[in-house]
Amino acid sequence: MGAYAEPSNQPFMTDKPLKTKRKRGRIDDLMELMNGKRIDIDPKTNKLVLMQEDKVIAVFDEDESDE
Amino acid sequence: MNNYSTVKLTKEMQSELIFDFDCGNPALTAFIKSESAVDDMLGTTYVMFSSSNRLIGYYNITTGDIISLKNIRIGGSVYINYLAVDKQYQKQKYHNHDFYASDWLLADCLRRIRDIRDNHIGFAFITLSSTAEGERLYERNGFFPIEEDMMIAKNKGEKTCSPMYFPIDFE
Repeated sequence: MGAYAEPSNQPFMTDKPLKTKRKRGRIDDLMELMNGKRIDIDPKTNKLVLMQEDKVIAVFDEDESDE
Repeated sequence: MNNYSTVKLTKEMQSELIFDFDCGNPALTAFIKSESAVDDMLGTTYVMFSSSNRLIGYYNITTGDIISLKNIRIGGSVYINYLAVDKQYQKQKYHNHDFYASDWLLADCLRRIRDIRDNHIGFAFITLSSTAEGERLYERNGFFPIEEDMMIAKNKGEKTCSPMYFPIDFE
């Protein structure tokens, strides 16, 4: 006997509406931004840098907020 | 999508490259140095190294479920066991696009999970149990707290962590 012994047209069984879809957000933008890029460390400053085709295209800064 | 910032952790990498990693959380720091990190029965670990072979961060993923309080399966998931960034780099931010290394690592993780979903196994969610320190990372990237009538299985040691989920599809 399989997991769905009682046939059901409601595979997502919950009393309240379940969020099976979300709004497109910043993480989706970041996933696109990542194409062809990587994070590396500048050995002189120990700061993170964003690399594209072996060139530094951005330097990370220290953030004062409580991350 | 095969353009990842991470590679699968091997025993050889573990023994040669990651001794000085410290994310500030003793459990997460200990995990990456343990045999569990390279045990495929528990999960798979992906690591992000610099070009000088310094470990910036890692994540470990396995399978999961969301179930109802009546023990009915609601939907399958990939469960993020661990995600951590070395504390030297946690506060560094790329201001133009408003992200930290932790956001980058999470995005890499989501790309990998989406690849699994698109090409290998069907499921609806990503689940995890977040430490208090990690909650802001997941909230700003679209994760929701588990609803009152849902549950996910937690790992031993995650009792005080907050269960969260993330629908893979967007509207």
